[in-house]
Amino acid sequence: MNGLWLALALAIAAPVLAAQDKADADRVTRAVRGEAIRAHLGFLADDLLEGRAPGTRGDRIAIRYLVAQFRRLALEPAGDSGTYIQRVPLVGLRVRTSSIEFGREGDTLRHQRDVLLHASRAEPTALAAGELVFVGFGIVAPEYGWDDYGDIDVTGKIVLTLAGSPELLVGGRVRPAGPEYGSRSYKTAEAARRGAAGVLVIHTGETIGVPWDDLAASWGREDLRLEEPPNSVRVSGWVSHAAGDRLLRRGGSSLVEVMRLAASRGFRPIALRLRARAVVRSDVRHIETANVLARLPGRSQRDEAVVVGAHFDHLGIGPAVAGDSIYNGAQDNASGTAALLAMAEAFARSGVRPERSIVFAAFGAEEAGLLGSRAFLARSTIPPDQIAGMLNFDAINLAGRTRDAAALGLRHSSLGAAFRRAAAAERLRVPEEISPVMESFFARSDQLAFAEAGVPALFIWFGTDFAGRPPEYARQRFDEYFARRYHQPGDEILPWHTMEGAVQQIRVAARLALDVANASELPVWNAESQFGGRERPPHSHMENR
Amino acid sequence: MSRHFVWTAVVLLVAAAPVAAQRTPDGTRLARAVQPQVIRAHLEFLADDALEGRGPGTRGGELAAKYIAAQYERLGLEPAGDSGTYFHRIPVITLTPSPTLAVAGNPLRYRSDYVLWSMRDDSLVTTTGEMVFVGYGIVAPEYDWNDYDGVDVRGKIVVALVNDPGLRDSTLFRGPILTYYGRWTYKIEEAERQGAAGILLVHTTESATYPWTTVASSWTGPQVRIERAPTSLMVAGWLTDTAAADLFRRAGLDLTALSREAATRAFQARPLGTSVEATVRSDIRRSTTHNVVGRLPSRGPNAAQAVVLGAHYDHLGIGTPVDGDSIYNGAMDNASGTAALLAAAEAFGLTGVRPARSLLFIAFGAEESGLLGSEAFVQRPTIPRKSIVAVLNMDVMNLSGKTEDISALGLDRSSLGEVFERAAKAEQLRVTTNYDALLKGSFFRSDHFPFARAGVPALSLESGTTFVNRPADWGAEQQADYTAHRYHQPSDEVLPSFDYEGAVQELRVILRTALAVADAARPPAHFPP
Repeated sequence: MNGLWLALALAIAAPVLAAQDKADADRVTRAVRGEAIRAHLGFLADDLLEGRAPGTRGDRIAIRYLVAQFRRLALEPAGDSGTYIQRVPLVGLRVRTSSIEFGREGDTLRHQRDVLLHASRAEPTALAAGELVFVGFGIVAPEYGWDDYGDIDVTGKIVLTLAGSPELLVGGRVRPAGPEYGSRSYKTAEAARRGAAGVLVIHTGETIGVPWDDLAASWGREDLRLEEPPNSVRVSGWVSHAAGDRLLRRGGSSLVEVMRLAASRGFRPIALRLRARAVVRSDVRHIETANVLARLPGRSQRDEAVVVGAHFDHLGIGPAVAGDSIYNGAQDNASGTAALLAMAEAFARSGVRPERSIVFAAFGAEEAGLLGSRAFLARSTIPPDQIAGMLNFDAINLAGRTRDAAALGLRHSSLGAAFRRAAAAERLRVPEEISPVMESFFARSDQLAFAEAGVPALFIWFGTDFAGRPPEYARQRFDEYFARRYHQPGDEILPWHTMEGAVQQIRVAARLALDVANASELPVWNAESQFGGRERPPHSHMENR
Repeated sequence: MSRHFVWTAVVLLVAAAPVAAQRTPDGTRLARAVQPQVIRAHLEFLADDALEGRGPGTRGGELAAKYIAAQYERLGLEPAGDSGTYFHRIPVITLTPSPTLAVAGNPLRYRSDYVLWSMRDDSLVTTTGEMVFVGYGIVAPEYDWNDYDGVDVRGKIVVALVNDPGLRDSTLFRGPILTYYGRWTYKIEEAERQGAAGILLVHTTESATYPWTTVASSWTGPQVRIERAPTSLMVAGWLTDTAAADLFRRAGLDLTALSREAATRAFQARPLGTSVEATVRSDIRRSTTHNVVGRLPSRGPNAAQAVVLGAHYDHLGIGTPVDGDSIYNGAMDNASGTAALLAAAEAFGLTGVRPARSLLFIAFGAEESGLLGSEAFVQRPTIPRKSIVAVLNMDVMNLSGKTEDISALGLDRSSLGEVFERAAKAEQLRVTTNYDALLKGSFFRSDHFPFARAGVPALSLESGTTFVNRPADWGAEQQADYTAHRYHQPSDEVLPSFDYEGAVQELRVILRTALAVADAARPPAHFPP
């Protein structure tokens, strides 16, 4: 009997609720206004904001601007202690020189020619001194039955590894899931977990994809990082192919030999019976940026949130190109920030209140390595397991109306299907296929930090079928942007910019956000996704829907 | 569910829409749309240290202008500045004078006897002319007064008293209430109209309302004004009371007696019989700042006419540190008024109310340098000056909480006063007169004034003084505290004590006034002075 009543109630309630959801979505989308996007974009990309580099005056002005806009809309502060701001302290390290002395005679590997090292902590002089241990690729991957460390104790020692991962070395397939084992950051983190004092990765040319000279050229730039509790590692970095061979030979082996050994399953770490002192001297700077966070509180599940994000930082003032030294970052990402604000305004003005909260998050320091979003995931008031999903705006379509809609990451999670529903409601087609090159952009903005933390995420992308334009128009715009503007002072407001395409994107994203915020089930990763590690609860606590 | 019920519901639904639309008058809708957090948000941005005190022509000033323009654009206001933008250019010229002044060959001492500056935009001006004492230097037909009657001052240097004859004789002019004829700016304008080559104002602390030290510090160093076309007038300056008396004595005249005489109808201008040689070398710097102008177009029959809502956004920039703080944030003066201006635009945006006349939102630049932005707009308006029917100015909002009363400068000068009274009444506020402001001539000291002088009915909002749930003199104490400790100091910054409800009340009255004026069949009338 009860079951019958419930079924009846659901049969009556479902269409009512669906109709209500549609009416809500229509109200929000109607409130999305092109003027608002243009106005915010114009301000944030103005020369007076000096390119919004983290910790600069322009950055602070952008932060104040975002706070003013969120406050004006009467959205709830969702930053530190009742404010809109989550402080993000950063350390800037610029390597002046680095070197390694080794052996009893004090042989020296020189900066730039032989080694490119950096400090792991905010130390003007960083020192790692200890025995060298060769640990193969430095990978511990239980899912492949691979363990380069075995039971060796590397506490206080300097580990020496090969670059890349063994699959690549032996021409095997690219691994489908899990951490980026081939990356230097993974190897360093693994060594840190084991208490190593130094991590040296040998630049085995062909496996890296980045020539030594290019690495050397980039080494003089300031490296911005989050202020994090220190681990055991003091020094890490690259040693050249030849320098790696010198170290190995002094320790009684050779690069050719260890490469052969390391590629095989039976590999055991090799203690080289050689002591080394790695030293890095750096300029150290402590700066601060912020994430600016506002919440549209959910009606029933206030603590669960859909995060809509966009980074507001850019590259600041840099080398002049054609007399212009301000890297305005109009597309990247004043446009996404403007879209975020316009979407927040549409929700605030519509009066629509979803079941879960929607958090509007303007992230700082994305260009320096997703630092703001990583800080948000590490220590914001919204833990990752309460984030239903994340939608990211990074570069918005300023080239006009399209007949289609696109997002990156559709195949990873159930957000893909939700996106298709939202696009359909806006009468926009979603292309079945996105080229692998495009899809690789998923790893290039703040959504990656969320995906890595287990939060299903989408990168709101451009449609490519422009109304009234030839089919190759999108390609042309894209190529022109990457050739002439991307990360250059030429990324500024242009006379042909139009907000119609941006309005379409925001409308789709608003429907999607509302769908996720109101759904009884939280989004889930697809089984075959590389990010599918996290178990999601089968349903949330939303009993009234 | 009966058929009857369904039909009733349908009928009600159909009927409800127009009824609901009629039930709430536009004025009430606008008033309800004023939200404290909107004022707070804009104020906190504009008064942030990052805006460096919004000095004219500085980065902070430009940032503020860009911010305001972005908000106008967001709200869909039409650009109404120069050539399709929101920005109206104010051509600022800064002259740093190095003058000499000699009477009958005897040099006077700069700063201790006199100050002098160039009225020409030239790096060197020299003039020699006979001195003529013109009393208060006033030509006021409505008071049947002409100090220049029967004297030709062309090419001469006039010596004039400041203030007006009402200071000494309460039956003349408006008695103790200062008229514009009493302001030093008027004296210069009149001397110029009379074709004089120079003017020297005689300072007394009583007539000027400030001591000589203020004169010596304000009129030396960089003098900021808008570029002006050359006229006969070459130089202007002040003389100390003592230096002037000495000059008169050497000409065989008694300044004290003449000053007394100047406040009577019997007064006649008097040549001093000596000549002056004045030279001013000036260091000249030109810069540009902007008014930010947006238009809310009307679709009504009077769309070409406009009601101006104004507030100056500039402040003093970065200056001498006080307690280690060198940023003159100007949170009250006038980030608060600018925030209210933007909140007013927002209220129109939120409600969709479109009055019968257009509204012109003007954030004025360079007010603190001497009303330069409003002056520049009146001189070179972006819509015909005659189409501006009224000006409502907001300079310093009430951030101390709700009041029972409200005030404005200029209530007695035009029919705007009545409109304002009705608007206040709709918000359950009494209108009180700020007598102190009348005595000080505050009406002449903010951006509505250049419009008023050009004949446009104008009001400038003033805070009420009776605060809800506060002792009677609390408001006056707050005002005194502000004047003594924060006015034009780095400590005019955002305070935790700010309460935006008073500003909300004020803005509601302003919006109701603006709407009533914009919707009225006839434009408001300027009363004769």
